Amino acid sequence: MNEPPQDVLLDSSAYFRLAQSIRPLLQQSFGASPAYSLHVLVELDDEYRTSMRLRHKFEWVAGTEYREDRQLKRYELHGEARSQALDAFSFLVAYADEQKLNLSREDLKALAVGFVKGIPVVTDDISMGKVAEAHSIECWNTVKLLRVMVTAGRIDMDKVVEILEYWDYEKDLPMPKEKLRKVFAEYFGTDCPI
Amino acid sequence: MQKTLNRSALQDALIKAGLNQSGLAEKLKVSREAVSKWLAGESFPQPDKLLRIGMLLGLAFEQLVTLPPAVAVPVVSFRKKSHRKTKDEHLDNARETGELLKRLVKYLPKQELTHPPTLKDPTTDYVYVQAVAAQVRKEMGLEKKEVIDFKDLINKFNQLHAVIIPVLWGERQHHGNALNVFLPDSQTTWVFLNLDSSIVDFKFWMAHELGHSLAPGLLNDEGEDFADSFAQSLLFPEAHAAKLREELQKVNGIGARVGRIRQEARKHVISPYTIRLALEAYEEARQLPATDLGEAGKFMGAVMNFVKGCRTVSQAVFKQLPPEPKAYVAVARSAFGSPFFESLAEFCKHEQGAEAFIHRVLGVSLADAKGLAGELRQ
Repeated sequence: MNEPPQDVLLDSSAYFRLAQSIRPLLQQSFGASPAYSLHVLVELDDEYRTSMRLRHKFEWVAGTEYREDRQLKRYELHGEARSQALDAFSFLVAYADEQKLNLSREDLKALAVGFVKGIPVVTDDISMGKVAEAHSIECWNTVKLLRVMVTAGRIDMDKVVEILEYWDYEKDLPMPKEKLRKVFAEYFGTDCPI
Repeated sequence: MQKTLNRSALQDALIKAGLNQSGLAEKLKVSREAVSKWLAGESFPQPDKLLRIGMLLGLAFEQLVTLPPAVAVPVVSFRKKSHRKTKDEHLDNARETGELLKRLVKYLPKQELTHPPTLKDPTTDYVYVQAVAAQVRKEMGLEKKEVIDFKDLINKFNQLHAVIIPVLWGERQHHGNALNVFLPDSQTTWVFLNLDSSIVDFKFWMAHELGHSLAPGLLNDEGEDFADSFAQSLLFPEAHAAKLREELQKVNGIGARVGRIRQEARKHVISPYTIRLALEAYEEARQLPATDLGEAGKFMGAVMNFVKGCRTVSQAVFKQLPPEPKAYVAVARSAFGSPFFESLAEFCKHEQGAEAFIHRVLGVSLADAKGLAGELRQ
């Protein structure tokens, strides 16, 4: 019998960073034992719709292809799970406030959902990483997600190189280049192509 | 004083969950001593343990943790669009906004820190509210002016030293159109107004919030009812209602009477619904027979069509939507004379985490908050 898929939740930045390069990013599950299934929060579309900067910078996100892809894999909690996520959210907000961390409500919601569902949250945000670490919430960066996708045969190394070069060209690296090189070497065991 | 566990809530929740200290320790994979120390107030759980206690016992942070007493809790008042039910979540968000605004107080111009006179003992009695509205109209220099315009309302807010915060919350249903926050410790009033509201709704909300600013002591439904009655009386006072009623008596047919109300609404830039309510309140208070305006449902249909035909304030004041941060700040300063963005600019220059602060106070995305912070730091 097949194992249930391992859900993975992407924060909005991780989605914006990857969805144009790996198409369709969300609806195609990948790997076996477990099969990974990528998701975004339903709030991503609200955030995008109300943000002039996001709409300007990532115009493609409004395209039918991407909208349909998100619609198929949006996390929207209901009932008991929603109530638990709201409770978890209250703890994360209090912690972020106390630590004066620069985080949006959507970021904290993603972590709360990740915690309640027991699934990894993909983010490159340092502050989100701090909140996740303090609360033992599993957090991946986009480089780790790429590694998982390569291992599962969802993408190949040529695609990884293409993505890294694109981030570099767009000045949208997930972390400072020096750090990226270290992290890349750690996950891929080879030198970073950029 | 440090934050502590709310031990009685914790004990109650443990009993409800059928757990004792050992059981809790086992579930959290910590020693029984650790739990014992938490419950005795000798130590405080690490964030991950605290979160797990909350999840295990179904408690939110506010229920599980007692914070040092705040100097004063922000007083918030708002009514959702179409009188939607206000949920605890909305109130919590509004109070959280109030807590955040406390950090801006020190950057306000000095005059905003004084507290002009407010009403002594406000009630929702018709005659009283009409008298207050008449007095306010007089103070606004509008005794002879029939129609109140936006500038009049803005000037009155500024006289009351209320800080107007024009926001772009969209026309989404789940947002309120206005929010009034009074901070008792600094005696400052902050008024959020949604520019994405239709121009007629916006005018009503402005007058409504003015009501709150005049009666900050009236809370909850009482405060909302006062603010509604005040807005109605200010925008369409008794004398107007009396004159209109007299005219309507001579008009034959419901449709024609509703048409006359729509005409009046267009002149005053307010909703026909506000006029109907003003008329009904007048007739009830003066014990006059009700004017037949037909079924409420049909009338509301006419109101909806009227409002749909009106532009939103943001459509009226911005060349493009959504506006660039520069245009947004410029409108807030010039059209609303609000010191909000001056204070926010100082905050951005002196404090850390300004982007997250803007994101949460204004309800804009973090990306837009970054754009605004960049603009304000220039």
